[in-house]
Amino acid sequence: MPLHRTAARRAAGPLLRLPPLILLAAFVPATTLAQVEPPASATEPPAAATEPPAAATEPPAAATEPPAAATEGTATTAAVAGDSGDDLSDLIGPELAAELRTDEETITGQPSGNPAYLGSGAGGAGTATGAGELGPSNLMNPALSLVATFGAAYFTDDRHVPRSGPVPDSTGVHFLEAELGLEAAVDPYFYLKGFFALGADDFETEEVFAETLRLPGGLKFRAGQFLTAFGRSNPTHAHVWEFIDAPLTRERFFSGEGLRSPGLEASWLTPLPFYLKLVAAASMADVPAPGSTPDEATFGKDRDYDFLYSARLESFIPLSDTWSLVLGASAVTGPSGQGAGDRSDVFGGDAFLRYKPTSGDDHFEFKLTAEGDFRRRQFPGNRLTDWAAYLEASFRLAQQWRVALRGDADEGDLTRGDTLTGPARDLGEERGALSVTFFPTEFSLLRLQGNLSHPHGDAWDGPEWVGEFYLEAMFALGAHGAHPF
Amino acid sequence: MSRMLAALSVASSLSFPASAGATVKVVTTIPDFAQLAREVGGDRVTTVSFVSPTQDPHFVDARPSFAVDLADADLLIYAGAELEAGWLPPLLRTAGNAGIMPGETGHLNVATVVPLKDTPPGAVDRSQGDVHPLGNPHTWIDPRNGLRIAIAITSRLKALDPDGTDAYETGLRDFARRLGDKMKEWKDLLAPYAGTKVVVYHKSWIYFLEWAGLVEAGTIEPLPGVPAADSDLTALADRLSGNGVRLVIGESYYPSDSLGFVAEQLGATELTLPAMTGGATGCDTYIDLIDHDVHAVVDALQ
Repeated sequence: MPLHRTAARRAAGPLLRLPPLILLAAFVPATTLAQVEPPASATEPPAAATEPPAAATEPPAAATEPPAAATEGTATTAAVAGDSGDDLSDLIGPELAAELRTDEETITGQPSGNPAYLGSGAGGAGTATGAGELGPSNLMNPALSLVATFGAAYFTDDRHVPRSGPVPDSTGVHFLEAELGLEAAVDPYFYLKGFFALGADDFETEEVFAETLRLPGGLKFRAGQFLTAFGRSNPTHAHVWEFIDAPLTRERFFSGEGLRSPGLEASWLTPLPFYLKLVAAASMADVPAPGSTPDEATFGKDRDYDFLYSARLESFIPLSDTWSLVLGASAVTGPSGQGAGDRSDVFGGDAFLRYKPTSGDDHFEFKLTAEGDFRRRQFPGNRLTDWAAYLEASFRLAQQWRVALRGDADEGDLTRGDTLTGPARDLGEERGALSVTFFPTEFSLLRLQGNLSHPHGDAWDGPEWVGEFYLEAMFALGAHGAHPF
Repeated sequence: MSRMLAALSVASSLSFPASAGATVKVVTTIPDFAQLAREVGGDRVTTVSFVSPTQDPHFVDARPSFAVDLADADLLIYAGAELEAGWLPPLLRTAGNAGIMPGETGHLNVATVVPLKDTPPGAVDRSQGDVHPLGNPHTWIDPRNGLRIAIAITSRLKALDPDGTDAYETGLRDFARRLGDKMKEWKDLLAPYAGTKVVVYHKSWIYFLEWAGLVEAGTIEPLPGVPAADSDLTALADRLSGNGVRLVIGESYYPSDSLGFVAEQLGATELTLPAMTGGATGCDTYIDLIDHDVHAVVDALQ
């Protein structure tokens, strides 16, 4: 018996403990008998259910129905369970009743002699294959997936802004990564997900976390290593993006890999009639650095027990059946990794507008994403601020084609001073991107992307404009990954 | 650990009040299940359905507002057999409602209460298109299955709300009687056309066709979920010409020009049929939906 039972289920306790078929057998005689006058048994299903013979021996309520029907309805247990105890047949005709009964056997695996009419809803036609007589069965294996991403790139100049994460860093053909995913329910209480990035010569755990399934009051906890719920881009995996590369908000502040570290997250789906979710997390401040030098990192660990604290508020506004709007606000704070108790804070706001028609055959969809983040970092005797933002529009023009445009920028006041490792790099950038994606199915895509990047600042000695051209191919195996909204 | 879980379970049982006196909140994916629940439950149930009746049920956005509906639902009804696999599971996890988790009374997977067709005999992979490895999930469009689903809903509602047992049984009886009468009528209407060959866009009509005595001669999609290119359309028309195909059937969310082209090539009638309750005017109930589709087929064949 599961530990969890609602009050309603407790009330129905005696019913639920019965095999479903018996439950239905109890229902069936009541149906016929109640044609004219509901018998007592119809109002007391538990009693009737626990004592089928009693129900079956109820006196006939009336015999105004065709004699045959009345006889069947008043039959004994044998008739209830037998092939003539066909109570719905008055209503649906004997042929259909017989048909329902016959293929009941194929569904429930139960002898069709008992006219349960498939109402149990329990189980399926579980075919016992692969039941590992010589070892563990594979029937409980988790859902597996593998998403392989390849890219080719051409840069108009070898001096281009370095990116992090699974994105080509030089002209040529690249194996970017294969993301291995495993997920399944652990038990009735927890669901475990793991995502591992297999690179050309490295292995990386992207995320592994357990989440609760049955906490009351809209509460949910996640524990493990997970992408921090900050903005729209950070919690997503690269293969759901409209572009091969991350927007500059993520790239610049959190690295192309995203902000992630071991921790605990609580989220609360507020009991309001609309969607409002609050997320708060504490996780270790030991996070991957976005750039090539430590001074690029937003956060860093000064002491073993340094934590990042993050919070997010997310609201969903269904403007209509076809238009949706998501608004979010996020904040994360933690040690800047520069010692002396210096801290970094990042604040962000995001909006996502989506149009998806619920009729018609042209598959047109439209998505608009905007995100802006502001960062403040303390250094010994110094404070630096900068910001980054992007605006992205995506159009699904046909069943297998999407076109997306993105403009992003990061700018900031980075010139004022020294960090522990030297002068902070003064580098800003504006960038425009256009991608055309052909996806034969949900499981594969080919993408052509062009970026025009305009880096600037004292730390930049490359050309004023850099063109970046990418070809991306992505293939997904296995479990149908659910699409994030 | 077990003490903690026990404490949680007590807390969760407190937070879901008994449905006595209140209505049972039924949340469904496709609208047909909601309508069947209303047939059975009358005013003892409130219903919400996620899929618009004119929308392709394979591709539905997991709108976060659905999680809000799931969070306080008493009964979830969905087609199963992976029809909703791309969007329902994460919503269920977000909602975190213990009463509608798999295995609970409040979790009704329709694919477990109707006989599935098209179940692949062996292993499948996606080289065969977007196949449903458990079988064809478009079950509800056969009125026999409509009755099976209504019976299953009745049993769940009785378990969730024992006080309403009489009402639910009355509701089911009334529905079964009306449906049974209609089915006799439909059978008579369709009888003269038994064995008529039809082409469908997607393999979503096999339950209806088999019940109606019609024969599926081909699908416009070359493989499930793969849209037909012009060459596929021509090849299909070549293959089936002279085969006596009289109808080309598709839902409104499939390209009507493909339907029209194949129909024209084969000298057949193009028929856009709703596959879900509410999918066309005059299809406000499940019985009306089947009635509409039967009459549309019969009218087209006359």
